[in-house]
Amino acid sequence: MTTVLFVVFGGSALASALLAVTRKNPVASAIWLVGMFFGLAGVYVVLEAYFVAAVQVLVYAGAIMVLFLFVIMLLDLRSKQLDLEASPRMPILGVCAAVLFVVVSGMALMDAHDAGIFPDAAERATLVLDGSPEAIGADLFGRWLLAFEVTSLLLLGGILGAVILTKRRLT
Amino acid sequence: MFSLAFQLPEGLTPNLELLLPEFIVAGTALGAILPELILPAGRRAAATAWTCFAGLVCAFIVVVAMGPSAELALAVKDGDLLVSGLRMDAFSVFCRALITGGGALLVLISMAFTNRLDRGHGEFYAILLFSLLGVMLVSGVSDLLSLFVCLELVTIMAYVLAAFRRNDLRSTEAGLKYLVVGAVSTALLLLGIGLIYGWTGSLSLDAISAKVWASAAEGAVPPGLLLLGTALLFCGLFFKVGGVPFHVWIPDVYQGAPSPVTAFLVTASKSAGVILLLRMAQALFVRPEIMDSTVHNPLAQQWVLILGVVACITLLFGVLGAMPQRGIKRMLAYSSIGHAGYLLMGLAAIAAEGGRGAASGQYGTEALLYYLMAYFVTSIVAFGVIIVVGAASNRVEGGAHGDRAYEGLWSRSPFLAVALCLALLSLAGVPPMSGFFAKFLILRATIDKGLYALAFIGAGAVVVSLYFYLLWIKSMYFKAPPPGAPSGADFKIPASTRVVLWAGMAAMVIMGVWMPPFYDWAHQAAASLTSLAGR
Repeated sequence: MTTVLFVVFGGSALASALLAVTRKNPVASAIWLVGMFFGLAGVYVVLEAYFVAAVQVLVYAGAIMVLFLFVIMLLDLRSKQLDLEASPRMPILGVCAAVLFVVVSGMALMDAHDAGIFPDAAERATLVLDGSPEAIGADLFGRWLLAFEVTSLLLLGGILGAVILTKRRLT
Repeated sequence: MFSLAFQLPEGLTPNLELLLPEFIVAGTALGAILPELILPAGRRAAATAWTCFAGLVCAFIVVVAMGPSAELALAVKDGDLLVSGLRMDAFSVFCRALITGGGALLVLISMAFTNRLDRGHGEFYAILLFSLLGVMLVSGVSDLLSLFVCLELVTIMAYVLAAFRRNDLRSTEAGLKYLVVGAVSTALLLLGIGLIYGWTGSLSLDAISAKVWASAAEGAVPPGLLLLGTALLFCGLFFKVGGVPFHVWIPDVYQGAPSPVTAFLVTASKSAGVILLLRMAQALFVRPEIMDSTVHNPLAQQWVLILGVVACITLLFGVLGAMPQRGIKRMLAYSSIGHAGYLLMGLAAIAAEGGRGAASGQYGTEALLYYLMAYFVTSIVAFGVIIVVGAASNRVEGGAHGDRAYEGLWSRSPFLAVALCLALLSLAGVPPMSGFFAKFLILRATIDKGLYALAFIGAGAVVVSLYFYLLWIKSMYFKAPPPGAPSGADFKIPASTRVVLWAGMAAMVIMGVWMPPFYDWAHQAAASLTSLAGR
């Protein structure tokens, strides 16, 4: 059951991601991105990380996507302006690189699986997975306190950067 | 209700005073915004810059007072760590001293640029300081999560800085290109971290190291997953240092970004990559406690080849690419790619040592640290001159940073010409400048580990690079000044830049002539890293 759900959610996330990068219309891309976020949220649910799944939907599919759509609509780009003069070989090279990457990482994963690196069903049953907000909060303010604080500085710096890059009058 | 226990990993006590320099820099960055709000327009620039300078100097003094002492190393040995994620060994003290000291010089040479801005001083310095803070934190990371967050602090701030002159087409282009390439490499870095986590089940560098060596002791071939994970992780770090094939952003970004920002990218931002490469190499390739030299680390053996090839290509690309460049910032960008090649050579030497077992990677590590130090000083002097010349040469044909702006500089401003000449000679690695000894240490580390082909190419590249550095020097000294070129009093050299140039020139010569104290410092820092790895 888990495997089936994983394939469904993972596959839909992958397909949406592919569609998001291949659409010509930025709004369509953004909508497919929402699809990918939902697929990922499904994967998190399969992994029993319910809190992360909820946050994924609320923050990414909700807040961030609305922001994306606003930006796209405010910029009001015509499709002509998006026609970048790329070499016709670029898509072919891109596909080759993607296929190569998928093959190599697939081989690496199979290799790891054969070597017994990943826990099997019996081991998995013994693992205690706690994706509750309490556990995440305790980790965030305990073990990962430093990373948490650095992130807050990062966001503060990001605000400063956004202000300086978008301020109307600047010589 | 649940009780929120403040849990630290076992045996650890929060030791916040070790983070004092970071607190000072963060506080200064926040304080840097204030003068813009309360002072009259004319005095903002100087007040902000001097505030930041004072903060960085305070942080530098605190760092130097901390060590690199044996006591601190002992304290760290006893498990006296900070909150999880940071390790305050002598290595990180060295790096933080380098970043705070170098950052203070960076602020001083930036004044010639920010004095001409009519607003945005507070933001410029605050973002610069945040980024420097990121590099300071990066020097102590001991797990992959902190590594990622701290590295992003450096990188995201640098995107903003590169696009800081947003009415300037080149600066905006630089910011955008940097952002796009940076985002791709960040994605690779994250995927790499994910794969490594999948293989080891831990984010801590110590646990990863233990697992790698446990697998090596079994004589297993390096698992593909680990190889792929480390490859992707290193890709993200190659982006920071400018290793091929992640060098593509360097020429355009270095050229387009405001000169002080280019100086920051060349020095501090690159150091962040090198520091992390050293930490990763230490975790993955060498483990000094295993005194059994029959144990081979197959991962390291494979990485010797990869790093060697990447180092060669990077070196040749940088050196050959720099030759036809007619803009000084573009030339220095290619030269910086070349220097990334030398840094990767040192890394290959560390990996070669690990491949043989019973190793510490000491030679390679201390060579890289000395190289960073020498390169830091040299680049700051070069960019100190470039900022001043660029500000005065707007009407010279070929642009403010073109080659014509430097023709006959000797007859126009001997002081700037001598400073730039010494910096270029040091970059080229001419004795008795600091750059010579840095390259010597790298070559010694590679030869010591039997990487003769690599050492040969490295030595050859020195000779080739001499050609284009000397061309620039020739043009400064023997060509007639172009029409419209500024001269004498047209160059407004602020006292701050003057001080940095004098100090930098002195440091370059002293580090080349009387290197023992500097070498000892790098040696100690490297020793703390190499002996503590895998603890």
